[in-house]
Amino acid sequence: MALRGVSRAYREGETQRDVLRGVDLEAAAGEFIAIGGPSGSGKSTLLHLAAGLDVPDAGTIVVGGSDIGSLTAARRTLFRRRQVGMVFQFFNLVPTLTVAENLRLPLALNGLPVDADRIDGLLDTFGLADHRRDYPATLSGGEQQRVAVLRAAIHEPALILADEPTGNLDRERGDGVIDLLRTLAGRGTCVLMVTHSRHAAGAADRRLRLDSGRLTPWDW
Amino acid sequence: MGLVALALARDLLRKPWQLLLTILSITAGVTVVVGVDIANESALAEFRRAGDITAGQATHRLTGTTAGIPESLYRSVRVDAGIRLAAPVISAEVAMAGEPGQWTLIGVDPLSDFRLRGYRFGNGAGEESSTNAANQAWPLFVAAGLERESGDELTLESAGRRQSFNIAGELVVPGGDPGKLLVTDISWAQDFLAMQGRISHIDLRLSPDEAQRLQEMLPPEVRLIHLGVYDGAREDMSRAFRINLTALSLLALVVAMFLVYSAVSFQVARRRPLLGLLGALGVTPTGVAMLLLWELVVTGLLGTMLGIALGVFLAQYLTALVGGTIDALYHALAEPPPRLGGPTMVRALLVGVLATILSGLVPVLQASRESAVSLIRGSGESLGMGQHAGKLLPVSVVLCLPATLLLIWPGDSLVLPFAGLFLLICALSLLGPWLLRQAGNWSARHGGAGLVPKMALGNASRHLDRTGVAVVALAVAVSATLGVELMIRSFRHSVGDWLEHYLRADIYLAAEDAGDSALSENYIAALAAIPGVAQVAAGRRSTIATTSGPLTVFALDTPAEGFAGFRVIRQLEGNLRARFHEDGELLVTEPLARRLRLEPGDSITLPTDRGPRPFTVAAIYRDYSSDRGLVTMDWRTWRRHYDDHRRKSAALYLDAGVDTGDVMAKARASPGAPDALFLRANRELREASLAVFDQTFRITAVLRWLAVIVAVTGIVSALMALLLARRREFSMLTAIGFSRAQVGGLLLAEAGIAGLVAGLVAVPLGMLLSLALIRVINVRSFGWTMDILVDWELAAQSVLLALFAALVAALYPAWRMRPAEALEGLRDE
Amino acid sequence: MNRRGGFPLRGALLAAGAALLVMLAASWIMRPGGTGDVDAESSESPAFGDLVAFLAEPPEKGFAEVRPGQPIRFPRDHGAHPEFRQEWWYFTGQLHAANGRRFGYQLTFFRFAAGSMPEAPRSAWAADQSWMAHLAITDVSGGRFLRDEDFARGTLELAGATGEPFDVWVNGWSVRALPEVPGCAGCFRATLAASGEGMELALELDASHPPVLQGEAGYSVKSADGRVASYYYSMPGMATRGSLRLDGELHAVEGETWMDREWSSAVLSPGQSGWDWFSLNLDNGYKLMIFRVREDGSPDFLSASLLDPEGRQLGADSAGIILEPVDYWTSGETGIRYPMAWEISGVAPEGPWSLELGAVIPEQEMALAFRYYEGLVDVAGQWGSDPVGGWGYLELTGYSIP
Repeated sequence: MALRGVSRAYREGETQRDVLRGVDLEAAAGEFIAIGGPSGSGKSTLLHLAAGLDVPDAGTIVVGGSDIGSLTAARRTLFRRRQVGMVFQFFNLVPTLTVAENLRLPLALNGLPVDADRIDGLLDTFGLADHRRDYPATLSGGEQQRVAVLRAAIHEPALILADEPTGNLDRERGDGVIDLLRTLAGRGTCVLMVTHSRHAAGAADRRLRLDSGRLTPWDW
Repeated sequence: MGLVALALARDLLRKPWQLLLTILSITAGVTVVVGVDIANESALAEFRRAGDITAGQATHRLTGTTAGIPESLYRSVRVDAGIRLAAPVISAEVAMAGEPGQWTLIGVDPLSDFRLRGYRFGNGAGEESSTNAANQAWPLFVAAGLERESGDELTLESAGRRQSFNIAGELVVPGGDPGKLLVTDISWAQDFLAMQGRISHIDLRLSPDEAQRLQEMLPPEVRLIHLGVYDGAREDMSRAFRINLTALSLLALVVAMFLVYSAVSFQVARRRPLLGLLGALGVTPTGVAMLLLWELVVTGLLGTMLGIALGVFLAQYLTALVGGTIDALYHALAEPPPRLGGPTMVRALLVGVLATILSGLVPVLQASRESAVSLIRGSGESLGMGQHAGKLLPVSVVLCLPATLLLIWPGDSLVLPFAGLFLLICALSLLGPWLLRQAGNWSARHGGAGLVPKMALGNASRHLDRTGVAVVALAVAVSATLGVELMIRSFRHSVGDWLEHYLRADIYLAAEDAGDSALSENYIAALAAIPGVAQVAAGRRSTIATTSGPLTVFALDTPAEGFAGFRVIRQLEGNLRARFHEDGELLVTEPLARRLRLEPGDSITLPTDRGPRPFTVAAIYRDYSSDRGLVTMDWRTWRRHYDDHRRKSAALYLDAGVDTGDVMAKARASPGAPDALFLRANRELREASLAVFDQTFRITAVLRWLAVIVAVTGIVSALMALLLARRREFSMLTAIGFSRAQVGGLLLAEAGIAGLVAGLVAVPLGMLLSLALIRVINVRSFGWTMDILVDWELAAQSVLLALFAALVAALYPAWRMRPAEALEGLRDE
Repeated sequence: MNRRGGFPLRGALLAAGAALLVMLAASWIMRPGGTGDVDAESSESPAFGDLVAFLAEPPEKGFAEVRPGQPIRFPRDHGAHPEFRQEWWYFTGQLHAANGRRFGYQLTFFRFAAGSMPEAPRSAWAADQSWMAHLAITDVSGGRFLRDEDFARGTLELAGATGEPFDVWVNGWSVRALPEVPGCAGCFRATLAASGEGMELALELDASHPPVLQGEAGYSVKSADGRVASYYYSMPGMATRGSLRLDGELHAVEGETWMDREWSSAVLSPGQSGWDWFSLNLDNGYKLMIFRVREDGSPDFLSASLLDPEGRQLGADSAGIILEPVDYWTSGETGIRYPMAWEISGVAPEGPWSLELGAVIPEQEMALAFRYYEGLVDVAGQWGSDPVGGWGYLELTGYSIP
């Protein structure tokens, strides 16, 4: 994935806020990148652009060889469906589907074969087998996030974008989530994680900081 | 997509009450529409059936003017012209001893009748009887419902003659219940009614060639009319009435649609996070929209089906009302049983589902168009009324133009002005939310009387999406109520005015014996001889069959005083009285003039006993006694052209100071008085007429209240939605220290403001409505013009009604605003 | 909060199902034309019952009795005899069109006297006679049979029959003699007009031979004990010319007509179930009329008459005539089984004869208010020593569903 010269600004009433100014970023498959920075600095915007949820005012966003910024909304949706997995801070899981159904969702959307055993296996591996038939509301925060990460990865996307995945969790639970992300990166997925936690960022391969709309290395 | 649909469906069902409210909104609208549709269809079916029973398969009828046709004509038709499907009929209205009301006695020749009418005569034991059964004297076949046995006797009366008939068997007619039909052999009917040498008419089934051939051999005073015209005339009679009813029912549906819009947009707002998540996961906006639309379809179907079921129940009540009204106006109907037909169900399903989809379309499309980002963030209000408040005024003004155009478009159509009316209602009701927004802005700028009113006003203005819809719904319902009520009051005033103007005589009498009864010349002379009677004006009202349907002709000799009672609207120049009395010209009522497009000076051809004759229309006058209209001519004119000189009614003009009751008693006792005499003093007659008027408008009162109820139901829904949407805000207020009563009071205040605004908008809207109804719709429906009455008291009442309705609707939501709810609002975060 | 899946869905489905049921129930209860409506079949014949049952009732009082020795005079007795209970004028014939098409036709006028009434209405419509007419056409080449009926009461000149001039009509169907001096007493030339369902007849009949009195000078007994009798005469061999319209197609036709006339006050005695009647026109000029009244438990009563080519009546030995039905046809419409092919034999002055006759098409049933069979038949056989052919009409009454 490569961002080149990406700018994005929002208009609020009379004022214009430049959230991203000419941001450049190169990320290779299998790289685990953490992006930090003060809140409201547009880290989420960066993720949304990478996911094709938003379109930059200037610059290109190339993922897997194509410039998604120039695609139509429908194409971007299809791209996101297949190539992206997203993890939010909260409200990740569809509350009216069971855990197993939530995991099946990306596969069903993409028309990929649903291997029930594989899903069960994944849940088992991560200690979530008991909750297979439960609704997300009955799981703890950490469990929810772990399911969210599994859901983000199940259709083997090229890119996983995580927006403050550990924000709501205590250290221990948060570590579980981070480990999951590492494992996924290790398997070849490019993982982009936005976080304000130094501890969480520590697990990444590369650390960057978004400040005043520009991307700079994050001093450690 | 199945999984996504499942997710959405489960989400919908998690809040069953909201779903139920949406469903019930559409149910309410569909119930009223279906109820009215069934009532209308039943009445229509009854009209057709009644026509079919008497006409059977006949296509034509040979008929005369007032005294039937010569019986020898039948031989000419059958033997000379060789026409095979012809049946002679003698028919008359008769009374039955011991039973109320009038019955129709028809005498037929079974040998020729069976091909046209298919009546069957059972001999009581369920077997067919042969004409040998008719070999007994005075045989009569009656409907099973009369519950008489063969061999029983039945006394019939007509025009002063009485005869005892023997029940020979049961009358069975194809297509249903014979109702008030009595059948005997034509020979006995002729004897009983003393019609020797003549019969009432001949029913025929003719090919166009035969009709042509027959036409050429008829004597001048006999006419061949096409029966289809009569069916059409019957249906026409009530068509305008039925259209008006349907329009009222559609009003209820429109109100319901507002409420569905409100419910759906709230639902969509509530599900934003879920929809956004789905978008983030890669469900296309089109996909989301399709799924939501399918939910709408299913909801619409459920609501419609429930509405159909409930509408069926409502129809029982409405059909009785409609039937009663039509019977009171047109005297044509036995009580029609309500029937749910296929077309009604299909119409209801289409209307209900379409209405649901239309109402929910806007919020659904908006939700699907927004980017997933803003959906997740839940930023911004729903892009409904709130955001586009600025556009409300110009949109409203712009819509008024085509609305007015439709209303004043020349022609006879009723659909166009109703469409224009609906458009006008939509256009002007939008001013309500606009007003609310303006009030909110004003109060924000100018501080004001207190914190709570300012908050209330501000809130109402801010949450325009919710409150705005409630305002519009209430404004529509209340303005409709006001408009129709104003129209009815104007109408009633005009009718009362007309009656007072028109009824100049002191006493009115008519022969009421069943059948063709009249006031004998001796009796009329005796009336004139009563001391105190200054003048007697006698006349008759006859219904003449013409090729374009039945026509009522009123012939009277009226003194100058009576003539002044005609409220002439347009007339030829010159002395109208002379034209009427001496030149034999006609006066025509408004509805007739409109129907036949007559102006003073036009010529109209009437069938007379001397053959068809042209008459000149001298003037058009206002008359509310019949919506088909009538022709009035001087008695001398009648005598010149028609043979039947019997008078059926009379009006007595008394000298000053004479006791009316005294004269009435003498009139009843005078020699030659008919057994059944209709005798009324002027004032009684006026009151009785107005009572009939009130009866006929009872049904519109029911429908108006239904519309208001629908509106109130929806407002409850809207306010509940409002409550839930602002839970956070209310919980914050509770946390600050507002007591439950205060928060509830805030809600009530908001509702009250909304109601007040709705009422204020409803007044001018209602007045415009009544103007449109009086000037356009009534004129086109019935041909009547009337004076416009402005009732300010009623207007003020309407404002109060709106306020009251809104407050009542807010009671439940306010009560629901309990502390536990408040906390839940906070917990969500 | 629902933990396990399914329940809200099920509840919703239940609610939907309930709403649907309510709606369907309501719509069924309130469907148009619900209960108690009668089917309309207004063009069916009025079910006056079977002819034979009606006619076999014992003579009611007030009707004249048929007695032997009463002179029959013409043209007077061509007309109606209202003092007798029933009467008919029967016209049957065969017609050929120029293109070779062959038709049979029947036009019959019936008169019935009504029973006496205690009181009569003061009305010109009061009638003590009622009239009925039957019309049928057999289209041999087309294999079709059309029939129709009409009714009238005997007043206001709607129906009637007069002798001088000879005129018989029921509504628009009529046979009316042309105004000219006939060649013999009882002869006439008349126009026949009738139009019914899909058919129209306009013929000119030339009756140039005097009427043939059946039985003893017109007194024709119907049972062995002589208790039932009628006045009966025939006029066979009337040359016929005119036009026939069938389903819009007009044909110019020529042929021959046989008229049968009878009046009486009873036709069958109790125990007699019906009769078979044959009118045969042989191409050697002989004409044969045979009728047989069938009786339960008793030998059938048979009567016949034979005319030679000059029209002279020859004695026909009824006792020597044998009638044998050889083929049957069951009507799909009424279920009645009719014998429509026969073998008959007898002895004439020329010697013995035997004939086979069969209906040209089986479906020639008059399923009207009265039900009987009246059909055109082909004749072939032996007359003396010579082969012979011809045509005729066959009438079967009193057969019922087996």
